[in-house]
Amino acid sequence: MRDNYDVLIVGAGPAGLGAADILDGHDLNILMVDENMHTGGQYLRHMPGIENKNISSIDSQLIARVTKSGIDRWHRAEVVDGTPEGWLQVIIPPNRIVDVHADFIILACGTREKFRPFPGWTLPGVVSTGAVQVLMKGNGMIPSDDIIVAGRGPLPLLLASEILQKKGRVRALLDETHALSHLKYLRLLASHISKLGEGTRHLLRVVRGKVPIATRTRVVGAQGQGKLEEVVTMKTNRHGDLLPNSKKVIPASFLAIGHGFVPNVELAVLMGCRVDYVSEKGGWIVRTHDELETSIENIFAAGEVTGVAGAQKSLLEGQIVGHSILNRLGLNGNKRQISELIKTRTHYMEFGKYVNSLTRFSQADIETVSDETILCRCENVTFGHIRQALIDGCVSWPGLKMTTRCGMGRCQGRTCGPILEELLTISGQWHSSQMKPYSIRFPVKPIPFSALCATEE
Amino acid sequence: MNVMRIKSIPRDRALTIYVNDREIEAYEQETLHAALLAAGILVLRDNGNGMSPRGIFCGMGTCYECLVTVNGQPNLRACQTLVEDKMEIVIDAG
Amino acid sequence: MRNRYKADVVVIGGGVIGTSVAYHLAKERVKVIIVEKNDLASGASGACCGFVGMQTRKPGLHLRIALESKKRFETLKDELPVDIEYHNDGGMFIIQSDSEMDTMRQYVSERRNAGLEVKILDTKEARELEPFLSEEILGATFSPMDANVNPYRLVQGYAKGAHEYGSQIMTGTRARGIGISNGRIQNVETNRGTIETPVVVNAAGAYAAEVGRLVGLEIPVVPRRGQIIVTERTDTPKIKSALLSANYFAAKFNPDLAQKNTDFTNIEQMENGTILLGCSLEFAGFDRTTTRETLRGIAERASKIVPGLRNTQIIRSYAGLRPYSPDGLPIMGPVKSMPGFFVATGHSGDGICLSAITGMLLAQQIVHGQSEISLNEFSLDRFQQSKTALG
Repeated sequence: MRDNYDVLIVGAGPAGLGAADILDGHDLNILMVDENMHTGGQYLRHMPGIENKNISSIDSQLIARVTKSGIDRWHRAEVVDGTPEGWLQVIIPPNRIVDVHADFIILACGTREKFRPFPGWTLPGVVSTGAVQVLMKGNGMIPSDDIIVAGRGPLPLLLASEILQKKGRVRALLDETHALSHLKYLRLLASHISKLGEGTRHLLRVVRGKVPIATRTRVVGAQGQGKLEEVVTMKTNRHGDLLPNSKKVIPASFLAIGHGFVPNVELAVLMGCRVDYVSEKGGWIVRTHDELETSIENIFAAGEVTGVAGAQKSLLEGQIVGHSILNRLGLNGNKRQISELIKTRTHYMEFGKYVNSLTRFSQADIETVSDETILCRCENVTFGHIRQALIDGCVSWPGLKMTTRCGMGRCQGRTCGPILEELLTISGQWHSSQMKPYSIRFPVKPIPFSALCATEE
Repeated sequence: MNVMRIKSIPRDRALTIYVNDREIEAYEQETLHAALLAAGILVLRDNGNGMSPRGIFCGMGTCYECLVTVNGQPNLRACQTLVEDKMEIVIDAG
Repeated sequence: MRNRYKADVVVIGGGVIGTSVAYHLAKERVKVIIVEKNDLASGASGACCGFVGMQTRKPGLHLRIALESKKRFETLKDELPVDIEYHNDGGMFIIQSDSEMDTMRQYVSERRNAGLEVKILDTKEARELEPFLSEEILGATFSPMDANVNPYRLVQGYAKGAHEYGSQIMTGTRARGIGISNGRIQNVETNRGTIETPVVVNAAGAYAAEVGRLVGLEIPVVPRRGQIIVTERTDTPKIKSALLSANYFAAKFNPDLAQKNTDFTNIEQMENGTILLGCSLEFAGFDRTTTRETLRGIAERASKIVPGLRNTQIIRSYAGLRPYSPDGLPIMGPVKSMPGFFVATGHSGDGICLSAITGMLLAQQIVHGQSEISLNEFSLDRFQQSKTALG
């Protein structure tokens, strides 16, 4: 097994694939590592050999080229540590830690989902929209009837449409946004005709599938004895205030929720890359200059980690980084193409701004969350605990952590952190100068004890 | 039952896996959490105080909710575990 | 924002020492303001383990104040308004070689003479007390007098208690200057305003030297880093007492090793089931990153003592900066050359354990001019490096 490469790509989603595609064929030793079994990441998740109508032929060809290329790929591999000098530690099955070095590293770590907590959101049966996509696209399963899909942003509509496409059934689609808020961005959408077309297609499918669609409808509770049995909803006015007397209870045993995306910048932070908190790009993002190099020499970032804006922008950035690295190596990366790609990418960043603004929390979101609602799922820390800690004088994330244990569980703040940060900045409670990225230490993700102890042959 | 296998999709080899000594349907290349959901197993554990039932949440290895014991090894994420033949899973729903 | 505040005493530093001093002062009706540049327990107090150890002390004054501190903990645990998760479950030094066994036999007899309850257990006896210990160990010392506590909760307890007695806690507030006139302290300048006060307590831990310089004092405290591994919550293994490796004592007090980077092992399970594994003693400036080689060493040594650790997951590591004094003993008490200025620092890794007695004695000294255990032996003046205070 090699431990030294010219380029190491972390993540086999659109960004990683885009970079690999450009770099391939130049006699470089390239390694791609990814947590999943196959390439594609979340967006292009598929079961090899099974036709997936949701992946365009262009993307399918990209996947085929990369998987057939000479690029080394480690799957089910989690990166747990990294240094600015270009060393990464990776856990590969079955629980081996290996050290690998590369002259250039591309961080294409993608995103995870963000959620708006409500009472009962931890009940079994409440899942993320992404979880249902994984079941469908990765395991060939569909929800049996009475799944409710709820949330904000494009994903709930997309999911409902995909379920129907696979002959599943959707009990209801609940969109928190007001139809009018989409109008604000109509001009923007109009210049993204393909997105508009896509969105319309999904909407039509859902309408034709006779799925009840409710806008301005927010899930305010999940109830049941030991698992989900009922979803409680209320309607809101244009400003997001809950309308009294609008409560409805819908029987359901499966609820998929989604409220936008959060870039996975943890590895970048551990390696010392500068990150900035930019709400309109999804939260903490890796700071890069034009050629998408981070603040650390020879470490590049591509895809959602530089700003949430969808798969096309990720692919473009992967390609940009590929060309940039070829230039560095004197291998004639196409400079003109880079500037074309950058222009197109700017176009997609606008779309990202729209999506991120849709899924940003509102003042009303904060105020209506009850004290008993859990914020940190791992450690059972409630909003009430956090509010009290703030009253008691906590001025920092570490302070909140120590006082309440929020963020100290296994997920190390991945689920609760983005929610908390967004709520605090929106409410004005914390000045942006108080925003520091969550302190990251080895291991970036939990590792088996034995992996740390194992001596390498 | 919360999910069903799509009939038109061909499955790989059928495997034998046990959950609390009960055999459930599973196929090679499936992740454990999918097999559990397809068998109607939703509640996977309690989060510490006897009143916090938990199951699959994010489905992609980020939230650490779907923890089960596999072949004696506790606290593994079901969504990141591939099913294997004769796998023994213990779920303590608390 | 230039606000003006007034206090009888300003405590600089919101860690376990600062909050304990504030609490004990506040109980005596002293108006205290704590000035903390980040959040409470942002320094070593938030990055340590909770060992309240008696076995780790040198016989003599060191052991004596530890025993007194422990006595105080027994009442504090009920007195403080927060459950500090205090457990008197004992502690063991694990013996893994013949030479360690010889050293420990001598060590045990010295300590028994000094009044500590401690004995040597063989492998079988040790494993009866702690079934998850390895069969390979030769034995262990055991003292029922060792205890442990939850450090975060302890700090919260002192702070909340102080607040209930009328103290003010200013987080996000950094002391930038100490105003002196006619040789007496007048105020503390912070980024949030000026606090008029005649008395300042330097409880700034690893940053005590920086605070000392505000009044022209050289305080020989340097940061000594300790790295810790945290496991997930688990009950396999389940460990009741605090476990340390027998080489701890050499690492801490042997003059050859005391000035170098060195390691020992400690294993402590918290009430919620997570296990803290340590530890290193390194001079690395103010760097709080963790290093894989050190963590691997900790993991390997710990799993030799408790093999069941190999079945757990490691979820995090962190590093804390102990405020190290040249002789490993705290620096506490008044400073002759600077009336009104008190130090409470240099606890060198014993801060949690000695917090109770430190708070008590400093409060007595400040309010009554004397303390039930004299602070002379802990005086800053023993280092004879303090300059004349600025007039």
